Amino acid sequence: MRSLLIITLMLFPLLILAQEKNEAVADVTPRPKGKITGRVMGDDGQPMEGASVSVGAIGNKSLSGWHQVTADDEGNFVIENLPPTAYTVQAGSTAFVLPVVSTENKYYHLGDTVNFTLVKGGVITGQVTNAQGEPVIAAPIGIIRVRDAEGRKVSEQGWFSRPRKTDDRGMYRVFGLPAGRYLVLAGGKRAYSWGPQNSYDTDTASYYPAGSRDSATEVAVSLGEEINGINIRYRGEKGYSISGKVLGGPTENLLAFGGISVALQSHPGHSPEMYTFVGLTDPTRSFSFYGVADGEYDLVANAGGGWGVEEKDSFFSTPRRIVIKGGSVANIELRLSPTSSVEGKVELAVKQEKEVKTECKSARTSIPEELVIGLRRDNGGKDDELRPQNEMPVDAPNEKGEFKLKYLEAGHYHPNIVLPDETWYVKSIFIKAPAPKSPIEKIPAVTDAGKQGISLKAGEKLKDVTITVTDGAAGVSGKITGEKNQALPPRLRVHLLPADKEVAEDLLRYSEVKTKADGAFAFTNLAPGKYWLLLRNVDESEAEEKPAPPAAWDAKLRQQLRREAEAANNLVDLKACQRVNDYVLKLK
Amino acid sequence: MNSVLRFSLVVLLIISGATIFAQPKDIKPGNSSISGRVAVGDKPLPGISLSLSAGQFGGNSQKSMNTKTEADGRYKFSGLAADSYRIVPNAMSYVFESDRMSNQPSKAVILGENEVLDNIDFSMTRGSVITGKITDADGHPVIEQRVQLEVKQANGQKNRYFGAMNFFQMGVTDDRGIYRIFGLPAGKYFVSVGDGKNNGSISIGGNSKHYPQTFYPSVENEADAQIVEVTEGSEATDINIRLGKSKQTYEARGRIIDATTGQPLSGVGLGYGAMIKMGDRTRLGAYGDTNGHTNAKGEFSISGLSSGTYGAFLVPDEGSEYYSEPAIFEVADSDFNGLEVNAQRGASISGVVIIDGAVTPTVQAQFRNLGVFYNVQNNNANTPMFRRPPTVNPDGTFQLKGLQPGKGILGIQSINGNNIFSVLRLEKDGVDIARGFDVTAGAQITGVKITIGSGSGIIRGQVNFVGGTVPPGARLGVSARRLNSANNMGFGGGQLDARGRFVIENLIPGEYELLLNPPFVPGQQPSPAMMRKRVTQNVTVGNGEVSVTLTMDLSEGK
Repeated sequence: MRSLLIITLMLFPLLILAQEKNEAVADVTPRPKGKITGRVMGDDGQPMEGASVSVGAIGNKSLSGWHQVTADDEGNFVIENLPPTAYTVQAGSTAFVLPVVSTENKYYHLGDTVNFTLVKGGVITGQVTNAQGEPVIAAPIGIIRVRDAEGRKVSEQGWFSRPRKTDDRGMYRVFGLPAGRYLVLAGGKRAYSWGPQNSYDTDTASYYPAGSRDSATEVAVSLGEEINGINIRYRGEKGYSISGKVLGGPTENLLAFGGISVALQSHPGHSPEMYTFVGLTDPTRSFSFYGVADGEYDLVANAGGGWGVEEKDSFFSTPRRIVIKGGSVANIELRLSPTSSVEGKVELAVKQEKEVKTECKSARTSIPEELVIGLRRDNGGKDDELRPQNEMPVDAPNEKGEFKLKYLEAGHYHPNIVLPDETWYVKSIFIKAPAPKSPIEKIPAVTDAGKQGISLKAGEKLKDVTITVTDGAAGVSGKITGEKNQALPPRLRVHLLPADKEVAEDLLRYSEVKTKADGAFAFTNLAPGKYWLLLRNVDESEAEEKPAPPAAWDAKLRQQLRREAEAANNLVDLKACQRVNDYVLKLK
Repeated sequence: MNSVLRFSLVVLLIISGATIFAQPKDIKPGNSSISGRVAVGDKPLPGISLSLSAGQFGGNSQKSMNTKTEADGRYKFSGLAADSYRIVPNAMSYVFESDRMSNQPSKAVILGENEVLDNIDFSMTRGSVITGKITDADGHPVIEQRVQLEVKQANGQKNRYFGAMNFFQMGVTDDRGIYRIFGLPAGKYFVSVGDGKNNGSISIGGNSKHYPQTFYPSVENEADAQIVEVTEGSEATDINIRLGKSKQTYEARGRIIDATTGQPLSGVGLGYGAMIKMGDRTRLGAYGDTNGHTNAKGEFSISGLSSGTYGAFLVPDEGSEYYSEPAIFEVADSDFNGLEVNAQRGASISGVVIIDGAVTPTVQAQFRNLGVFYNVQNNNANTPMFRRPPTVNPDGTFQLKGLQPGKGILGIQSINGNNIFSVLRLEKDGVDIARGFDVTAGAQITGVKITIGSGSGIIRGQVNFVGGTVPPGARLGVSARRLNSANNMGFGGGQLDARGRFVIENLIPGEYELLLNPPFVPGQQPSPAMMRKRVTQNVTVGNGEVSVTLTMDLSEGK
């Protein structure tokens, strides 16, 4: 690990830095560079001068990992000299947030215009006092977003741009909060508390209003709203310890790998509770957490993991469930396994002019570099995500179409390919299996990942994944209509299923979208063929920002959908390039 | 930017970069105790929590022991083994003089076996508060802007005040533009916001707007700045500053090339820093690693630069053969294009580290933490130095690459800051190179042998002061230098504890010279007479403990 910090280094841009160095450079004609432009406005219609806009390149195409500019006095920004690839674009201004929390990355390409509207976030303030009513000074304040504005459960996360501590009056103020419901807590060696030692570090956290997490009261805050008087009675309880050691992992000196970190996550919320580090020179590789309250937790160890660390030196442990009830737990062993990777190639099967009309050919010149290859984790319906979808590794292929997804945990995944425009669709995804070890061994030469997904064992380096992308994609869009005077349910989802039996198991042919408020829906990037459309209600508990896994992943649910779809018989037959724009789906 | 810090493990590793190096020490059980009293003047302070950690520099709170003062202000840590400790009172709104530079004031204590030590008192004063609001030219609050304080010393000198401001986010404005700095020592302060002129400070990867430095009461000219005076426990309110127009920021683009071949270097690390003028020379001030790498064509870009002079340079990755001097460029009022950083292929040095003496389990364990460092004497080249990972393999071999030429000096370091080894001999092909050796550009030097040893000798000392008292907040330490050793280099030292004691361990037998420098109070200019004071004493160290008493005369005019 290189020296990270010499004198001043702001921690701000770290999230988009986990980039590897350039690898093989293909000998092809240089692609023209381009720009991404846009505007950042406040919800009052005024330009947000000085708002920061950062652009992160997918894959290895970036100039120096990240680009950041500030909006000018009219709110405009331009980021130039960008090589062709897919980009994430984010805008922010302290204390201001995007009105909607998104947990899925949206990708942009050269020439795109990205407009943002920022809204002043919510504010929560209060005072922390001890049993005697005296202010508790310099105690770390934690805030965990647990529900969205509608009260539905979301992926829990600490919500901070900077660590907050109480002042000399015990007062704290947290701002820039997206709408939602929060747990507010004081003390404890929180995941977001670092710096010099602090006597509150070894206490368990005191949640608002006065105690453990189980007795905590959620604080609801809307955009632009200030909630005062969220006063916390600090208990200063010592809690328990969890200790153990980390097995496996890098065999050499830990410093070169950035060390081993251990995370304690709440279960089932998955919010990061605490982090600790295995001493770089500790031959026993032991770790301990102090001030842990009663409760259920997951422990995960991690070494390396992208930060200038070679893939071979990156490790994860399988999460270990720990229950703390009235006592400390020792001798926990976490075994590190190497991270897995998926490597392969995107093949463009461009159709002949006679098959596909010129007007539905892509105008983009830099396919496939603008594709985004990702994986979605299939937990088999269990709510035990290790990291949110937008933190999963993604890659954009190089000019030759080669891609590699690294730092993956063992598990079952489905490919998630984002195409740069509507002319393309994913035809197939195959994995060529390694040659059988003996002639008697019967292994299918090819796995259809479009049907079966991709299963990764710990440390598995999967190669030879071929993603075939072709043009002539079809699309269907339309609207849900009810009977006369019938109001549409607020949340509906349209499922698209292949009507042909031969492709009934091909998950690439399945798709689902939520309808807009006016009942509009749209499917793009579809393979030509016959499809059924099926309208269903969105489950009441499903938060907008935490969508349920695609229904088609579950074989049983898929069969059920097919029966329902066949019965409803909303059939559409899509030819290559065809766009059906006015499909009317009747609400029953 | 989505204002979430999703603390992925990767991110946390970076934040903890600094703390990883300071290995926490376990507190061992024993029969000794430390107690004392925390008070403001005569008034005891009850309910103040104190943390005790082992080691001269203290350490991680996770391995600390905590206690609280009783109604009479008294505290006690008992059941302690003989060791060095550090005690930190967690009383952020109070002030007391510390014996070391730290975010939190603390006291060192060297404790003996079966010792009941009872006068480690903390005499506090109530801290003061400075608070106010920062607004921009249009009167809007300026959010998350850092307020800086400078203390005006008795001699008129100005010093930047840090205290715990950095870690506690004190002095950073909230969404209303309001800041509140507490726990300040009584004194005269200058309050300002914005980037200083040519002070060499820089925030790499920093966002948002840059403002020219503006002092209270809303003046850009430093001479017009008004003093904010606070007395013990007082609160200065409405220390408001209205800022001028923010400064535009620019982007610099360029390439890193191999200076010899002219070929672009792809995938190499990039850093930059602010250049500061020192006399007629320009030197690299603060600098950092952008964590960015050049692309396939060796190109890079640096954004968010306000007007000023900068230097961009190559940051060597582990095993890199290159180094570079900063390519200096000036950003006036437009983007800077065509910057070229010339990377030089550096020299390499390889050899072996050999332990002379018994290889005990401790020696073996510490050998794993050993690294070899390389410095150039009289480094006028302005080349940024990036600490490299330790380079000693388990079999003792090492190789350093990408070294700049000059009169090279080799040394050893321990990555956990706990070096128990002394260098006995430094040779190349049998020739003594302890005092440095010539490293020519691109040379490939082999056959270096570094012989190290670790002993069981310990010097325990007591420093007595006569003719005056040590000023509060003074830093004092004793260093030991082995006489007639290969390179005459010092072997560590020890900080004086609250009682004037020190301990230096792991010494190999031999003749040592102890050196005690005069008390140094940060931010205060000692008198010329005081500056001349230094105490030296020779000590013979064997395999056990040696006790030493040093006396320093603090009277003026001697």
